[in-house]
Amino acid sequence: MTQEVNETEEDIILAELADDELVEQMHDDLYDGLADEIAEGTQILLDRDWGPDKVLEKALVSGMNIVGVDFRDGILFIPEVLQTANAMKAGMAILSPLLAEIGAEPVGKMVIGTVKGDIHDIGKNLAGMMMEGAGFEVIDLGVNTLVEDYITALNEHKPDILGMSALLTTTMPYMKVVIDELKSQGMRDDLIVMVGGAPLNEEFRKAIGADTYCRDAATAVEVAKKMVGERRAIAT
Amino acid sequence: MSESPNFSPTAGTYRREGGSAARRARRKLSCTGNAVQPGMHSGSYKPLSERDIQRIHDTALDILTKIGIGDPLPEILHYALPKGCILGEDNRLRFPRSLIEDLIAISAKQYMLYAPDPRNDFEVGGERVYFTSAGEAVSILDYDTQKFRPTKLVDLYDAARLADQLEHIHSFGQPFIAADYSHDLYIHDINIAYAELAGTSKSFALGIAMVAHIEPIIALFDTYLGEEGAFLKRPFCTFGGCPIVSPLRFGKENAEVLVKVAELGLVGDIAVAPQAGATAPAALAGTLAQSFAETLACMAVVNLVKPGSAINFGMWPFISDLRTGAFTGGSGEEALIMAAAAQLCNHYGFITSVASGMTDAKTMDAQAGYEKAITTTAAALAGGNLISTYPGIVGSLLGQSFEGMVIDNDMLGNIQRLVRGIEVTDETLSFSVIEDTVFGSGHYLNHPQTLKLMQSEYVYPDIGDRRTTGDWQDNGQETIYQLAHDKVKSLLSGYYPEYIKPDTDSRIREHFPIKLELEDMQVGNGRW
Repeated sequence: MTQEVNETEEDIILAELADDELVEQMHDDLYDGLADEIAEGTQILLDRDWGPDKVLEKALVSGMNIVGVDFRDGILFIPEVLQTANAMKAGMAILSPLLAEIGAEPVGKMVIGTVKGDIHDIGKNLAGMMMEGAGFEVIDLGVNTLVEDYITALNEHKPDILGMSALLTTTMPYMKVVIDELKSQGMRDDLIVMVGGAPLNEEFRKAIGADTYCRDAATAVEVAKKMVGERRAIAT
Repeated sequence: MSESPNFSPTAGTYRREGGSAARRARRKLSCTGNAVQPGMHSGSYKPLSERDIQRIHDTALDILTKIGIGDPLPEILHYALPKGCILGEDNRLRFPRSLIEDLIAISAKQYMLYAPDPRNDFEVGGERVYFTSAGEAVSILDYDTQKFRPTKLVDLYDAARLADQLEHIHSFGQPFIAADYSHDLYIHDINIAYAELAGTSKSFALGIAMVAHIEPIIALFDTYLGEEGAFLKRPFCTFGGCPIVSPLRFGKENAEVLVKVAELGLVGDIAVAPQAGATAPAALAGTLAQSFAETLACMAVVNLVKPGSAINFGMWPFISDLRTGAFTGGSGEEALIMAAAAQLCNHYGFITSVASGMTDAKTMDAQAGYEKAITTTAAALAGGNLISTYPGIVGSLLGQSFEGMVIDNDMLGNIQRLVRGIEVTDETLSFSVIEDTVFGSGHYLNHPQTLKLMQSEYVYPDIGDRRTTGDWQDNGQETIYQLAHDKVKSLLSGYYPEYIKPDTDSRIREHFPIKLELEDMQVGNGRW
């Protein structure tokens, strides 16, 4: 689809568009996964003295909301959503340091990894990419992640969310090992623990003491945004 | 978001094409992308060997030469006797072998099936496969009560509107009668013609009971087209029936229709349906031989009337359940013998018409699903040119279900995917894609090839449920039937195409006894 869009691309100059038109164009470009155009648009808005938080909210997050709706409605397919996520990342690469500078709260941060013994990572990768698409910073620990690796990463990055995934019924109990270790180190309450994977369900989530079970990557994004928002509301 | 993809909603500034509105518009054009299309080439399933075909052919010609077809009409004798056919004292018409072979050679092998909307025209013949509806059902599963009740004229109009919106039903054959007017066959036939014309822009077919009704119906179509003689120049409707009463007799009314249609230069749309074990031999090969002979006789008739005529070579061998003697349409034998019929007819290059989807289940349950799937898959892979897939027909051809039409539409899309097959090329073998991925991201979801092929390689069901069990459980545990039920309402409640313009409609109603009320043809009729 992106290729088709590029082929029919008109000669438009983003810098010549008025703010509201540029934002609408960025929503479309985000939707169409045009990473270079998103980076360019992001920079133009910053150059027009928009704060990074305003650019994030008005141009990028609102654009990704449209993506979310169309994914839910079956209009956008996963490969297309990943393209939008890639475009979002291009915008975030510019905005993230600026957001940190002004002390603006980022959308959220997540450490994610497939648990020890399991090397099936497509679901975890998908969740990670979709989270990035929603503006989250994602630290991906890869596959076969040991409890000590999770703990090290959590200490280093101080994320809002820990995400764990497993495809095998034999590896999913390891999630409880990680959660129990978090508890024993007094870290459990600082985190939203999110679990996912084909064989998991709500009962398992309760049994291991995770905060939320998400059946797919899109659900994970929605739940993550909601839960991070709630925690921040309580904190303030 | 702008409705028009090219222009900004604000100042009219030129925008890049894209975004949600543009994508939604593109996706709306087809729920299955371009993975399948009408008229794909087929014919890989061949249940018969070359020698089998030759032996069936020889036996069929023996049947026509030595046993002949009983009760020939005077109209048929008029054309047949001068060409060397022989009428015996037993009132059976016998066809010389060489005559049949000559007529096989000159019979038209393809033709353009016109539609009211030329965008829905298609060329029939060759190896191309199209799906159509068909039937003579007498009852319908009422949308609200879900009980069978007699079919009505307005149901036929609704079925036409529904088929008009279902992508994989390429042509609309009349699926059921209008039982509320079956006491007056003239009114019935005029009105089914009107109801189909009003409800669909696809080509359509009518099962006409009386030859005398053909010319008035053509006059109705000419009124619609605004010019006398216009319909015959571009006939968007075929007339048909069952001109043979098995075993091996002509059926008067439908044979008269066949002759008349040929005289008018129209395509004969026939179904020759002897029932193995009851009106044809219990041996499937024998049923093939008899039904081939019977269908060849019909082909011979139209080509004796007008050499080079086209006929939908409707060789439809049916099966009996010998526990009761009743017709069974959903069996493995039915799938097999109909596929064999398609293979046989294709062997001669005929315009092959076969039937499938004739489930014996009473509703769209699992039995209906497997029976429709095996029979339609077999017919499609055997290369039937026009496959009457009986969308939504249940109860061994006696009942219609609107929900079934929607479910079958999904099935037909997927079966077309089987017809299309797998393209094996250097590019599709994907070595470099595999290499890129293994040494790159580790997955294919965001590979450009995936993006490029996600719609052209794969068919997506419209209502077929692919959610997770959890999702399904949390959302009412709806079966496909319930999803189809809702879909029917969404398709029929607001879709009242104005295929017949009001002034034309008035002229039609002035001259013909149209019983379909205008208020039943618009939103707010209380029906949906």
